[in-house]
Amino acid sequence: MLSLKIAARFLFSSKLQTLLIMLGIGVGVSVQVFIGSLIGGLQNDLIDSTIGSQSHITIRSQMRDERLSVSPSFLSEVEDISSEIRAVSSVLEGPGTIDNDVGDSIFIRGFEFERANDIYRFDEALISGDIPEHDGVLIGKDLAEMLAVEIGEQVRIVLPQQGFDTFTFEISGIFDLGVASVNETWFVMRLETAQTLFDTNQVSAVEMQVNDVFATTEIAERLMEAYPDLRHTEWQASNQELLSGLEGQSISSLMIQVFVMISLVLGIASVLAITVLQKSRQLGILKAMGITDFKASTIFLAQGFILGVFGALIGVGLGLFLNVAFTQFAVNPDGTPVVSLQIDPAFVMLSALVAITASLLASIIPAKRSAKLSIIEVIRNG
Amino acid sequence: MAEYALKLTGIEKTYGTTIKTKVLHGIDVSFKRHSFNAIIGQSGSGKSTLMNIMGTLDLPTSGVLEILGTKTTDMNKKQLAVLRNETIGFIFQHHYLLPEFTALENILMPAKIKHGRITQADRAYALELIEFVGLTQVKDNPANQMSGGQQQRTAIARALINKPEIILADEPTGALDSESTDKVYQLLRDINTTYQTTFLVITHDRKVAEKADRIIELKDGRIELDVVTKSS
Ligand SMILES: Nc1ncnc2c1ncn2[C@@H]1O[C@H](COP(=O)(O)OP(=O)(O)O)[C@@H](O)[C@H]1O
Ligand SMILES: [Mg+2]
Repeated sequence: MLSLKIAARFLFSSKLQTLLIMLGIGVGVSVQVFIGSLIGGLQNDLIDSTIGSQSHITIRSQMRDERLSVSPSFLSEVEDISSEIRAVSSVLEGPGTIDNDVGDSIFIRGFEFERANDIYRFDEALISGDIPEHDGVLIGKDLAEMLAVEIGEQVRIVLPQQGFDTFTFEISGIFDLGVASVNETWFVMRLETAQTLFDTNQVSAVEMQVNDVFATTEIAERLMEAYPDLRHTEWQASNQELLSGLEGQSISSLMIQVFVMISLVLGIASVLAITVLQKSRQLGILKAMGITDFKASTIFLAQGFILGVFGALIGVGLGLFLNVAFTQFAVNPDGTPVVSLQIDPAFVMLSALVAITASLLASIIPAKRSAKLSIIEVIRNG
Repeated sequence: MAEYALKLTGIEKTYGTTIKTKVLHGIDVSFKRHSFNAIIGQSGSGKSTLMNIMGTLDLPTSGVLEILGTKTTDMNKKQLAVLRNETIGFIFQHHYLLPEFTALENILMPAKIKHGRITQADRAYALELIEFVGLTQVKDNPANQMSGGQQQRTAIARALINKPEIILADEPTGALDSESTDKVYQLLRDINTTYQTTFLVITHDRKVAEKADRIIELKDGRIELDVVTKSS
């Protein structure tokens, strides 16, 4: 307590210097908070645009091409396996071709839209038309362009697996799911329509999305326990580039943070080293009055601590302000932010804690010096 | 309790490692408790060096120092710090107040070092001392916003706060005008009578020295003269 009080007085007695170093720490921390939120936002955007409309975990039969019988209660049963599972939907799928000269390949997918919308958000992805109520289909905007068709027009397809029978569907909507391969090939219909088409009452797979995309493994393990004779795949298997991209971002973010911290430590250490000199007279007299060398050194640790705490507070405030300013001013023509920042309270806390720790570390050298300071030098040179 | 506040046996001090300057040549002297002693001598005769050694601020090259019957030779730095805090009060020529603190806070600092906090008794005693040294009006002034005399009286009150057995004063009035000087010496004498504190005062002023119980004169690091003016 004594050290803390003396430290506070020392800092308060040279207000400008104290303010400058707190600002220095603050700027460092704010850069951390800002960069952290920016990278977090970028990663979220990236994750969202890449796997936001994908199945995170898919379960199928162990046997290739074998379908699953799914009772109505099965989907809610799967949903109950973990509270982390936020959407479950079944799909019946199969290959087909457009009945034209080129024979464009399509991927027929039959969904229960009430459930599938939780994963694919067809309702939001529609650029024209509606979700089919009966036997209509949804196609991607690229396929619509290739076939030069519009809502209400008919498309004829061939099913190679059904003895090359042809079927005709009316287009009820055109979507943009943001992924070229999906927009070019998906041929989406109601599950019942697909089941009639493929002449089955089963489904191909059960797809699901989870809250934390990095927690799929644990959930997949639980699914395996519950359904040992089913096979599961996680999104990571088909998104290696995304994973290495995210990792690269995380590493570069970490590098920036480490260097900001190093410069912080150096800055604080040098300022505190000067304070030891400035306050050597006071230290000498405190020692003459019987303060122990250890206590004397804790004065400087306390200074480091105070500087760290206030610097961190300034930094968090400034960092959040930068975030707000960024989302206000760095905007697309339509007014939405270029990057929607991801402010993670845990990360902000961590930045603040790291700054306080760094300040404490930086004050170790000055603290050691103050412990060594000899009384007699001070008294003599008074 | 020991008879002597301080006992020095064969104290020598040599400065420098390559060019050695011997400043104290085997000082043997003891000071009775409750006595008021003056140390005089020309500039450079070793007075401050001796006093710093007696106050454990500096270590002798050889010889033994006993404070209240306890040898300091084998004590570590921490034990010495505690000893200084509890049994010795220092008054220097330059008052050495902490400019970041008020007069009252400066006076309480040794108590805070001793107890880790300020007790009710400490505060009461500090106010009594402030009254005694006549600083009531300025007790909440920052240390550097007082006159030289007031600052020195603050330093005196600070030296007394832990009720030390011994006060070491190195030219305590060296930086003061003659009026303040008289006041400060009267004060030291009063403290000596009131609180029975042992005083060792380095002074240039023969008039001041003559009021002491005992005068010791140093010359070139040796005791040249040792006069007891009145036995205590
Ligand atoms: N750190 C030091 N290194 C070398 N010589 C010193 C040192 N400190 C004091 N001295 C010398 O020791 C002698 C005694 O000094 P001091 O005790 O201050 O005398 P006084 O207080 O009587 O004026 C002086 O000659 C001084 O130059
Ligand atoms: Mg001197």
